Amino acid sequence: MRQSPLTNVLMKIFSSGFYRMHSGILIFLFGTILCYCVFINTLGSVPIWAFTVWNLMITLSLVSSPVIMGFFCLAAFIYAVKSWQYVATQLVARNNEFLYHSVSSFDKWQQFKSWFYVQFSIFLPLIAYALFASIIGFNFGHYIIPVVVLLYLFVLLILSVWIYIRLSNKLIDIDKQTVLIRLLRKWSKPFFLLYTLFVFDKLKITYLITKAISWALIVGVFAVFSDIQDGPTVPSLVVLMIAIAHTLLIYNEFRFNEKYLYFSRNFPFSIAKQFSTAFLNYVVLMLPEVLWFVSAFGIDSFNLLLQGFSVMILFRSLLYWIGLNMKNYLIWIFILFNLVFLIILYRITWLLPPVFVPIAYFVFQKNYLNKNLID
Amino acid sequence: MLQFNNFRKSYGHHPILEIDQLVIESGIYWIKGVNGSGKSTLLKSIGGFLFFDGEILLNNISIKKDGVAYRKMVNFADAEPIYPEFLTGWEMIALFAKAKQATPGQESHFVESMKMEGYLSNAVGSYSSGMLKKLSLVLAFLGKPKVILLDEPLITIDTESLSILCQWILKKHKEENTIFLLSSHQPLNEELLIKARVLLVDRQTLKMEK
Repeated sequence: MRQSPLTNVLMKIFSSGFYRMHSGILIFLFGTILCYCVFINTLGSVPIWAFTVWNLMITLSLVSSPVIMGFFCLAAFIYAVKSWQYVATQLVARNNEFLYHSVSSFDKWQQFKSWFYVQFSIFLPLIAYALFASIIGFNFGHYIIPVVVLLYLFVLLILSVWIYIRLSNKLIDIDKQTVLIRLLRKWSKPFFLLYTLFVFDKLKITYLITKAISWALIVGVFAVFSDIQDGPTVPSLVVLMIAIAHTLLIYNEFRFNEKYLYFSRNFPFSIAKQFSTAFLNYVVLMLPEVLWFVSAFGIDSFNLLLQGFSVMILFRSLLYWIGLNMKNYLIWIFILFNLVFLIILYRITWLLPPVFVPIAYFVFQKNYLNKNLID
Repeated sequence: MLQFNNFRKSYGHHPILEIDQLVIESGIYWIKGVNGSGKSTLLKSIGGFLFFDGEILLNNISIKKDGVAYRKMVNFADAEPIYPEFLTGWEMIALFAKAKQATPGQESHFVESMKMEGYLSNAVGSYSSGMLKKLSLVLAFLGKPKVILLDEPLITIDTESLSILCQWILKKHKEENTIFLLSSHQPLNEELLIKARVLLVDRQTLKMEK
């Protein structure tokens, strides 16, 4: 059957775009989970039947345990919110503005079908896993939870389609400003905090998801490793994971600087000033984590936070070298994650600030006017 | 005096511009060249946006050795300006005035003559391309620049504003001896045309037309 032109265009812009934009993160997540959970060599020998049983147990737990089902539904909701945010952002992008006067000309049923295709393909990983778990569940006599999970995904799918139809048919208010921006109207906005304001204006969902991940990491990792009483290893690990959770915000900062603050390359600011001021944005954006670490670790939090910021500043400088290439960026994040992980295991984390910050400065200075970026 | 020494700009292995030696004295210059010849690349290199091989000096100050002092003397207006959408026009003016060390109230004359007071309190995201263009031109005149680079300054703005812009250029050049480099496919206004000398970007180099 031939796809309608509307479905074809929407699939190319939104579905393919969504996977292109998030492919790095998906590969990173699946790579990490598969490497660490399935293929990692265990101490001693584990028979193949044991692997099969455990995998079966993990899959069955989704369709037999309401708690695991709750976690899956929460993850699916976060994934859906991410897709809504992506589609909403893409809809208002200048090169997609034509959609407002083309999509809205189709009848509502056609719009529904086309958006349904888009969201269905975005949801494919969730649907595939839920179906797989359901088939296994049916075979083992679990009926209610698989049906609830599939129904939940279907409702989420229809809700997404309804949101997209509303978004693509509404009139754009070009002078719309968020409450925060309106409140800060009289305040003279410092140049070096513009990205923070951009986050609160346009990246609220990304920011909230990042904070939720940070909170989950703090609660989860400290609970899992509660029996380890060897000083800074666990807190350092949490700091590293929080820095990793902020990679998307760091990537967006680079993109914001390249797009909206490109004019500032003509400003008489020294390289050192340009380099160090990113720190200000990070301190403000990480204020909840900073406050938590200060309250939990007192004076020791200074060292921990310094480690985290030096890792983040190195991530940022790498972007000036790599450019807006998400795949390469995540490969480097993966490499650095493992390197810092080893540094934590060998308990030489004091090395991080004096080594990472000069490297970050050197990379930034050499690539600030990156000759390989297309201008 | 703007000076090029062994200037080379390329994208990957593809050379865009090569200027062995060239001195640009004070004046108004119209940069001409076909699409893709490298006019914007030239202006962005002079403006301190792009990496290049060789040297560009302004009054003997090198962009590579003393970037801060150099950038204080060079202002730039982009062909298609983009600014953070949540900032207002006044906030953009305040930002540039601070960065370029403009005298207090310097912007008033420009804002009034272009009749921009009505919308500068609105967020930049609500501006039309013409309004954005006018804002970018005002920003390029703030401070005490020795060189003002205007990339396609004549597009998207109305005819009344065009003639006002020409007056700004002529006045600034006459009073402060500022060098103007304008890239444009549109013919310049008659008053500017009399004063302007032509710089031709052709065959990957820059030549002064006699």
